[in-house]
Amino acid sequence: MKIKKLFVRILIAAALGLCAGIAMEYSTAGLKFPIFLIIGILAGVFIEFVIEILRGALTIAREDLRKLKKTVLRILIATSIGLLAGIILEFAAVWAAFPFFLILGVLLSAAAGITIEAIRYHRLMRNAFFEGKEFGLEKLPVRTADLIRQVIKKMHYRKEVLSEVMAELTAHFEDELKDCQTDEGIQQKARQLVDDFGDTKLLAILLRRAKKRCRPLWRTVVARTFQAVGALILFFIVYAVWFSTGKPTLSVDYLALLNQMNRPEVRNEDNAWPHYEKAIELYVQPDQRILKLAGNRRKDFKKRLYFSDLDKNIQDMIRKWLKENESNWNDLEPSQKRLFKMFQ
Amino acid sequence: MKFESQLLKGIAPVVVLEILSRGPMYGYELSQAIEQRSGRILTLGKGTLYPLLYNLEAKKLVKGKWENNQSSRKRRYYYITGRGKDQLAKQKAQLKELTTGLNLVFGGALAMA
Repeated sequence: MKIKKLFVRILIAAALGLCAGIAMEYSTAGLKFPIFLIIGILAGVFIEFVIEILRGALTIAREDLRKLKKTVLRILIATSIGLLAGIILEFAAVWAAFPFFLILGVLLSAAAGITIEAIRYHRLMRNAFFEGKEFGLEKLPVRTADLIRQVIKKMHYRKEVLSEVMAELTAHFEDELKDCQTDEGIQQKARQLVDDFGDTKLLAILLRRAKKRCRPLWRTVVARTFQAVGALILFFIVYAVWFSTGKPTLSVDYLALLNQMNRPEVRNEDNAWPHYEKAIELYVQPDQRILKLAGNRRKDFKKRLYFSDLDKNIQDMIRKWLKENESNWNDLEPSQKRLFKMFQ
Repeated sequence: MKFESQLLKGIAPVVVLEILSRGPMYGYELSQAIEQRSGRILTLGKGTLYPLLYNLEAKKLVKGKWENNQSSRKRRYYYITGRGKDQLAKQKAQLKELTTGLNLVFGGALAMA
């Protein structure tokens, strides 16, 4: 069984488990947050393995198993390095709660390890594909085989389409060379075919264009959708960079405009504010004991307290304070009338 | 004798459809058939043939299908479709008109040549 297929199935099972985990997370509140997610993923993968064993499909070739072991080992090494870094950071840092750096280190390194392995695997498969053993490309003379490889590489298209074109071109060259009896004849014919072939890049472009026209509508829609999403993301990134680095230029000062609109249209001599300002300036603060009494009254406001109930000293102090502010109050009184007029 | 490439590109689809209307063929077979039936006047290289076949396939005028041939090697056979036959009939009529027009212009010299 091919590892790639198995890997895809495991991923699907893990995704299904994750969905079930999310559903469980929403429906219950008994356990802490990620428990059901983790259980869901593990259960999905486990069930998939059981299904594969029951199907009898989990028979990996010895060579593949050896490769798989190496891959897993490399991912584990990467994860261990991340764990080690996490432990060091746990000792060094104080601002994050205990397992934060451990989890972060393990997750990041595991992700990096898996990504590197995925890239390696992809490259391996790509190289194996361009060798063209599947299509009998190695049976052709080196010149012609290289020519086909060049065309296919320059097409930059989906692998299924590339394999189809590679198979067709290989068959074509095979047919062209089948009448040659001797090695020398084959080489000579191959040289002639390569010379007559023309520009490989141009042919690759023409083939790519023609194959693109062949694709069904749904595939075009999917491709265009991905392109549109990509363009939007790119636009958003550019916009975000521009937005965060730019400085605003005020073309209209709305604050000043609103203030202007709210300002009452009265004469300057009718404006009460200068009198209030003067009153604030001349205001004499009461004694601390009066302030304290007022503060206590606020706490106990339901109980009535008359001036005559107050202590004689306090009464004197209040009288003195009122006297000190009397002239100030008298000055303020006409301004209050103006203010009243202003709001009329 | 090699035809001017632009002129050949213009009539190549009709030629391919005409050859395929006589039976399904794979790429190499088709290029050989065109060469033989045209008395080696028309030749379609790989650089023209395959993009042309894929374009015709995209227009649903031909249909490609992988099949085993006598040498048990898989080949992609191309079949002409119903739409392809209609298109061929139209283009043949146009070509006939064109030939008549050209003959009139050249005073029958084309037909005699």
